[in-house]
Amino acid sequence: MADQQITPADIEVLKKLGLPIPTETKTKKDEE
Amino acid sequence: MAIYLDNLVGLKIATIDLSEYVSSITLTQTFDEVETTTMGATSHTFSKGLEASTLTVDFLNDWAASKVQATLQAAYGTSVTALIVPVRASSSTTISATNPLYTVSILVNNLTPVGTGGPEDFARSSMSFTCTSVVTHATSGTFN
Repeated sequence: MADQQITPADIEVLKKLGLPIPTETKTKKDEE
Repeated sequence: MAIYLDNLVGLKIATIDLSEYVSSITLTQTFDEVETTTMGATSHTFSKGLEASTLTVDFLNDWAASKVQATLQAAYGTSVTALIVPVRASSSTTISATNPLYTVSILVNNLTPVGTGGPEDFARSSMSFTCTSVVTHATSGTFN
């Protein structure tokens, strides 16, 4: 599978927009 | 895959598909050239340094919830994930060697919410994002 990874920063964007957080997506450490 | 019309590029930022607002997109992969010239050399020599890629996107503006401007404003000042695929299918895009998926972290350090154009134009924004990771290239998986 391709890297459909989601970072904590991505999750913050989704939260700000009120969108659901993908639960079956791999997570990785934020590179910031 | 043969040559193709460049009208189906897919773009996701922070997992949000913004493809329908992209009017132009350029992912430029590059790395620093570190000079390694030494005494006795008759020409400059360079070695590969750190990757320093950029993603340049022209968007048509839309202020609706979870669309282009809301997404970019929410991401402003952070590094978020960008996914780019050369040919995005309408329902299910299969990633392959002939339609690879590019993944990179971009620093959203600039926005042009009130962008270019005049009274005769659709509102648009042109931005160039600095990549804060290497660009990965995948040949399997899905985009949407």
